[in-house]
Amino acid sequence: MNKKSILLTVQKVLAAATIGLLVYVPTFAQTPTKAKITTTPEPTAAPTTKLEKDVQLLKDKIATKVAEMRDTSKSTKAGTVTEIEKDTITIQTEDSATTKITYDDTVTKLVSLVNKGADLKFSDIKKGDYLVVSGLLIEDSLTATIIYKDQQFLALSGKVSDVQKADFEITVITTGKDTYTLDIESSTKQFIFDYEEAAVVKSGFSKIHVGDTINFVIKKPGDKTTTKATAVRTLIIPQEYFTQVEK
Amino acid sequence: MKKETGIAIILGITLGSIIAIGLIFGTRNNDISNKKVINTKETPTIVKLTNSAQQFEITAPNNNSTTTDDTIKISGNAPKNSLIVIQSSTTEKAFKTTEPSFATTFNVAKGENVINITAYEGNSVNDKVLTIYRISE
Repeated sequence: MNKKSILLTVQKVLAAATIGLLVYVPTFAQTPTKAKITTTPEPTAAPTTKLEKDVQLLKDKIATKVAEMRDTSKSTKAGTVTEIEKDTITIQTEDSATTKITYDDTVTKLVSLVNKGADLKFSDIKKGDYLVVSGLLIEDSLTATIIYKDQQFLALSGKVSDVQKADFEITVITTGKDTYTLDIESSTKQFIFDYEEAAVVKSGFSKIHVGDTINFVIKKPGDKTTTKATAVRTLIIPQEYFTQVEK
Repeated sequence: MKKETGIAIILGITLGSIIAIGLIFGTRNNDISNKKVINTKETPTIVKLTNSAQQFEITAPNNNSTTTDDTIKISGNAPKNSLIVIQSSTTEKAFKTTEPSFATTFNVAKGENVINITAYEGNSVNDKVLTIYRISE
């Protein structure tokens, strides 16, 4: 074989190698993808009587609603009612954001937690009410599945700075440096930490002393400047506990 | 066609295929091995938390979370021998920690539960507030 024929042979080998590359790379470089499986609903027989038609209409309405909600996310919002329209409530949450709540009598359940779990009507909801709403969030509107009419509370801790025995009042300075005057009433659930038994036990007003540490719960005042409130619950940690801990 | 030409074509296609397969598998193996990050040099760091506020945290549940159960599990970290007080509008509990972490169950009512969790450790007081929603449909 002379040089020319060798050169020709090499050229042919390179050309064939290029063809081989062009054939195999697109074939084997692909990555497999999963096939999407969809199902189609089966047809049902057409209703005949008026009742059957009404039932079918309700079923279709519910099915459409459920289908609409399928790909949306479930959410819980709590806030004060600022606006009420035909079937829409606007609430303002703690961060001052507003959310539109859509009421649908076929899917929304209304419960009053303020009135010991009694059923609530849409017409009973007023501006200023505090609601906890759970439902499906579609864009910035929440279609409610349940609406609770609820009460807002504050749960705080601090130190007792004054005890007014005649009025059954105590003054507390909280860890956030706020001062509250608490009315201790017969409805107040009072407890004390028994450090010897390491247990929470029932207590009374007479066991509260200046310098004691207190954890307490009050109904959130409507006016933010109000510093006087009725205590819903109190838990006293006597100063002696901290003295014996230091020893 | 000459015999040499035929042999050249067959050899060429075979060589090209081998190179192609080698390239494809080589690329795939590189992708896999790139995901394994091996640190050959690791400098350990030791952080000692001296501030009790930094040592107090609630790890679960998340604030503003929703549950359908009537109890939740509250877990967190606090200095050993802290007195933990947990209180809401319907119930309270108090206990001392024996380890730097704690976990306890706590009853929740329907609707909004504002829960104050306070850690008393010596003279220092730290508190966190959790809001949990219980929804029972």
